[in-house]
Amino acid sequence: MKTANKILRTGFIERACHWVLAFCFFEAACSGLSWFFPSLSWLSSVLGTPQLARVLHPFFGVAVFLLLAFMFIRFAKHNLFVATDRIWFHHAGDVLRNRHDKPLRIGKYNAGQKVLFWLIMALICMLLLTGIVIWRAYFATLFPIPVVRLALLGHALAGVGLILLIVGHIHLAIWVRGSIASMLTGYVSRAWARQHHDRWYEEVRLKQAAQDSRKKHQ
Amino acid sequence: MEGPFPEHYEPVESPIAANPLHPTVKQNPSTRVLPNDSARMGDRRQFPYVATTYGITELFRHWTKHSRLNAILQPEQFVEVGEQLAQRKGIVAGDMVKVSSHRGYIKARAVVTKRIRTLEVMGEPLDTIGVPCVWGFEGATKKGYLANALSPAVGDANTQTPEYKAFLVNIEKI
Amino acid sequence: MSIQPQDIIRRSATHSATPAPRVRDHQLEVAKLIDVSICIGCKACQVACSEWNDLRDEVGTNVGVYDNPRDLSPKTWTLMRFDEYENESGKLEWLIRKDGCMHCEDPGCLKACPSPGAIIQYANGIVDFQSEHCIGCGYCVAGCPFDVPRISKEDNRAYKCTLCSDRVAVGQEPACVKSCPTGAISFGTKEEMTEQASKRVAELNTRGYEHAGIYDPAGVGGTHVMYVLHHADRPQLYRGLPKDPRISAVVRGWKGLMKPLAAAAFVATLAGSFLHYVGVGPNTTTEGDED
Repeated sequence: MKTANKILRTGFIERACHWVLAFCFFEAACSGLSWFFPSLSWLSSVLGTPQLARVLHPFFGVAVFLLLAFMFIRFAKHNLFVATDRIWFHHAGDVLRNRHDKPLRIGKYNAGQKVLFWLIMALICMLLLTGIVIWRAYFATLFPIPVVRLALLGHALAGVGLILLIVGHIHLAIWVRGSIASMLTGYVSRAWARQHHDRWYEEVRLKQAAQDSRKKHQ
Repeated sequence: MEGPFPEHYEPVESPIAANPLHPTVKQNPSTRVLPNDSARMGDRRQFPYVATTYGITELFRHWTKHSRLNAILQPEQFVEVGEQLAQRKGIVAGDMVKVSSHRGYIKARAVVTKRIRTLEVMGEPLDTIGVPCVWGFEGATKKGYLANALSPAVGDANTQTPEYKAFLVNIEKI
Repeated sequence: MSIQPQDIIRRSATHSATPAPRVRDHQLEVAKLIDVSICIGCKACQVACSEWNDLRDEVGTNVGVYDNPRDLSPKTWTLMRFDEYENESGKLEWLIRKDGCMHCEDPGCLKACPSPGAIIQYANGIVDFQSEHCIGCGYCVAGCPFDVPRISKEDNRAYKCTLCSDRVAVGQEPACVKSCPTGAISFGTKEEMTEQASKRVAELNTRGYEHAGIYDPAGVGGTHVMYVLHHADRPQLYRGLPKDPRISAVVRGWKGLMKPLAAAAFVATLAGSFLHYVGVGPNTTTEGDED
């Protein structure tokens, strides 16, 4: 793939992490849904047999947590809210209606993506904590039954919430053409960058110009 | 031979100082106590509590402890200690305790119970310790002691029935 | 119940639109009545249960109580619980209760179970675990108001008293009932047992137990294992028997209202996403649109 006129947006480690994470989440989510909606009990076959699914689901869940923890370390600084996010929130309707007339001063990640980031992190923490409390056969017996009941409810709420968020995330990844390719290859075109993350594109361009001028003067 | 009328005598190991009916004759004068065994009788000051032995619902004598089902119902040797005595000795349910007589000792779990009360006998408090005599060192149950390590060799004058159900012991938490 | 049960009135994780086979439901509800006032704590019921069900638990240790084994387990489906109680007049009562599954009319375990068919209820009221479908998740433990199901470490499946459903199916009384030497455990139709219990309660009332009564808690729809208690006003005296047990509100919400709400949320999200794409069209970038 010719990357001459393209910008690197996501590095290899982050991309690999993202896709492994997506797979682990798929396994955990399908098995979880098979128990939440009994009409979907056949979904537990993503993890083999029903008993095996019960055994493996928590391990995939912990893997999701650890991978998200890594992603947090890498991406948290890009997801802190800044003053210009206000503009995006103000024009969120336009964004969804595919209207790109006004420049929205969007950084590496837009305000909506930042909201998703923090929600995902909060929900995975809740899933981990409640998950440990209900984890058979290792940890559940350490907790009193009323606590286990609350954790079961909390785990289901957080799980459904996170799955719905990811459904939205996948929808938007498909809807914004070029996103999936970018998460696979790491690169975006200049036009894509200018359209979706104008302020980030400017910063990248300035940095590149500074690098080029330094090279020229060596 | 002893008789013809029944009479109350104290057991050879007695917790009280004198027989309330006739202070000068404490024990049965025609009790058979073998010479070596009288030396093995304990004193009430050293062994202030009464011990009695009995079977329990789940185990009988020594052969039922070989049955796994019976062993599950009562797996480990225990003695029953009244609440007041347990409190005085700092014994809590489940503690290992050592019950000793002048002849030997057993170690067992303590079952602390309201069912054994401190009695008041001749103005003094008197405690009883229940010693189920159904364990031993073989069988499906946890290894235990033979209760007869504690009991005295005393034969009733007429029947030779041993005085296994009334003798003196001491108890301590271990 | 025949070789294949066609009298299943409730089935875990099964939508009401597709119920289990239930035509052979013209049956009387059964009940086991445990008269605590007659029980002597001999544990014959524990032995009979183990013998009939081929269970052999571990030989444990004594923790200073008469209860042995010390708790219900995958291989101990019934257990005598001993409590010494000094009543108001200073008299000592040794309260001995046979612990085990209460076979609730509205079973919490069944409501919580996520595995289709792992827990079923027959038309006669017996709640049975179908272990081949059990995944060992332990939701039944959370659903039960009496802390009864126990998960085996060997095969990770939940086990509990079956009310000898296999014996009852062929017209026999449960093993514990047969073995009880004092007749403290009786078995028959729920109606018969309730009547028998009422008579016994009346008798206990005349013998100084003014608060004697039947334990058949309405909060779980009544149970198919009932007690006659000397102190029915204080069931907690009998090793924490709950006074007004019901399936926890948390479990009821989780398995009740949350389901349709979550389903609606899923439909809304999926439909919304699809309609958004179809309505607005893809978000494309025209290449060459750069500086």
